[in-house]
Amino acid sequence: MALFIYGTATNTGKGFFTHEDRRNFFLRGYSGHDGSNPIDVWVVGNNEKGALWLAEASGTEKTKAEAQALVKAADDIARTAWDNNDVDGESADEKVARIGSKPGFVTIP
Amino acid sequence: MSDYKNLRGKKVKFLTSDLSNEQAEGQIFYSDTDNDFKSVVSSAAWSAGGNMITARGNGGASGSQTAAFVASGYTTTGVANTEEYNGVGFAVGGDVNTARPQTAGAGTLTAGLIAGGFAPPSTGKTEEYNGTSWSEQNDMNVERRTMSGTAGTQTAALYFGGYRDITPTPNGAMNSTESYNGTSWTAEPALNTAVWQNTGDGIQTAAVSVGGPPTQTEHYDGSSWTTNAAINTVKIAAAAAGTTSNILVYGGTTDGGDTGLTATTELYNGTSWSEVADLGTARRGLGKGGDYNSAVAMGGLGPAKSNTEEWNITTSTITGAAWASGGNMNTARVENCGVSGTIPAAVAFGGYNPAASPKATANSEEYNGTSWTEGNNLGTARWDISGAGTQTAALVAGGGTPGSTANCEEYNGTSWAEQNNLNTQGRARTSGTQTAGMVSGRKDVPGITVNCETYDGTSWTEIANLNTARGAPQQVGDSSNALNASGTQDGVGGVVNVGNVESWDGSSWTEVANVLDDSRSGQGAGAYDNMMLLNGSGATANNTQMWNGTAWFSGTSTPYNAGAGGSNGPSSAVIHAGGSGDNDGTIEFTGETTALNIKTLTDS
Repeated sequence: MALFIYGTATNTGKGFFTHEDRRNFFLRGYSGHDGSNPIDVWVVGNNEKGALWLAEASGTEKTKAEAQALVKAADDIARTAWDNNDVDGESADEKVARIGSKPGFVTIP
Repeated sequence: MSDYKNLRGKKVKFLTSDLSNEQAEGQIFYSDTDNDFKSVVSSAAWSAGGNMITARGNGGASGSQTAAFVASGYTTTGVANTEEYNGVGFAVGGDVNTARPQTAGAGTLTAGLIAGGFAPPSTGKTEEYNGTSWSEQNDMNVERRTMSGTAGTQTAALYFGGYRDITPTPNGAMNSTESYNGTSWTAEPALNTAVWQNTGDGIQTAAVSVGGPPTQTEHYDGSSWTTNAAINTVKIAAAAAGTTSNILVYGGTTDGGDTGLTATTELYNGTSWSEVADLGTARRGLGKGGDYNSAVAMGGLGPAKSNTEEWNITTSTITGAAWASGGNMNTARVENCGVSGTIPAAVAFGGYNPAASPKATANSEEYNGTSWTEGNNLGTARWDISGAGTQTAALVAGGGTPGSTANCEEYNGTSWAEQNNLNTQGRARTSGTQTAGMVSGRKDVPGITVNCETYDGTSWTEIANLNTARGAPQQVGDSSNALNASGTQDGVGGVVNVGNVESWDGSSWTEVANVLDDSRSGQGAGAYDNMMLLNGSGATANNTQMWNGTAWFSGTSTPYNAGAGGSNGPSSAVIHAGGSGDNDGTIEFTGETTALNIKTLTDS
């Protein structure tokens, strides 16, 4: 049996996942992008309570490849934004000091 | 052989009802009611908190889990605004005078401090917060940036480490430590190792510096720094909460960038570090606050994040605030229907049924917490309304017909009956009760109006006008106390939303804080001093805004666009029906609840 369920669900804020949820199943959120809008990608422990949480969060289940593609799309956007965020006369080191190092690619578990 | 009392200092109790307070942690008892052995256990985990209004990281943050601030910071550029967290959602605070990311915060929400940052270049600028506005103070002696470690209060703070890149004599990573007394900065004994992107907490005379590129930690006793046990994982740009004897360190990055983002959390017990439960979302440059057993992680980077998480070591089971689906109505309703009552006894009426002809509907139906049942119709079909009162004593006045009406009707749980009209017709919001109703402002009078009227169960009486004319506001309250929030000024240069909010005290309207996000044709629920505003047109769909009598803060988002529906109930138990996102849908909101975490002991 797969260790995780993958899905997208909008983080609605307080109560979106609870203390009890975190004790009941693995949960990790990632920044994704669906080509139009940012989207929250969730890796959820593959048990009954994890699956129920994703359903109750009005989530949409994805395959691991689909979830990874959403995360990569967000990474691509962040990297392009980083490339385009230049100030005239600024050195490479100064740019890193100003906005941090260039984002890399996140691999979901 | 030892027994339970020798081990735990407590006897196994024989009880007819469960224990009910957290002092019972570890107490084993036999429930004579359930015929089981039980105990109260504690657990530690991160749970979701309210979302920030603006996603950001690398701000200056401090405070407690229920009263914290994040000031300035970085989105895709430096921002000046402050957000205030109350344990549920975020409210808008005052702007800092100098926007800069990579600053660091100390103190409390009402006596806060930020110092340092990247202006650029590194800066020693210092600002104090009084809960409303920031004021410039004397600069630090040594400019620094990258979220240096902080501890203490607005009048007794300690800042340590950081990065200085002032040419021609840049320091890079520093071991410099400075104390602040509310007026000026004084150099203190240096850290043993220069660090930047470190974090820390404690008080001015007993602080901890953790992380940055090395894993080592240092403790400060008011006179010198001592190297202490290393954390298990490299944590750069992490957050910390606690004291020298108990401190929690969470998030950060292992490589300085987004590739190494970490969700790991470590807890120090005065001797050693141990890995505890991870954050839900890995992030760096996150806002810190709280204590080792009740911390908060606000926003962060990788990229800029708005989500907040709360850490609790608790014997309680906390069930978070959430929206859940209810039964579907028999009639689709948009363009603002009326809903009177609360869960599980409500009545929905009127609205605009896009599938019917004519679209204005007089249909009325009752909800029992599970399903809707057809009732007797309104006398006058109408939309652009809201409902007042209860399922068995409801009230509606005005509305779109098209055009508008002054007609008023009461519902007694069985049928609707015509009452005396409003003095001024219009598409109106009705709130309060059947004997203490309120209508404030309205549109299509024609035009918009400042006119307000109250209802005493028999007739409508003109009262003092609103200060700002508007239609389609979000309104709650009755003839004694009410709140009229935001709305539109249709016809004044087109459709223009206003953010103004006015509070009624029984004699006059007073301007209070504007909403976070201007909204028209949303709906309100709750009371004049405790309101939920479900966003309508012009505002971010799906969001809610909460009013606590003083300030607006972000609430729990709805599962779909709830604009142009109907809502009612207290702000902790709201029913919402119809609207743009689901014409015949019903959603129910339940606020956060807490119960003691009692476990039944089993032999397997």
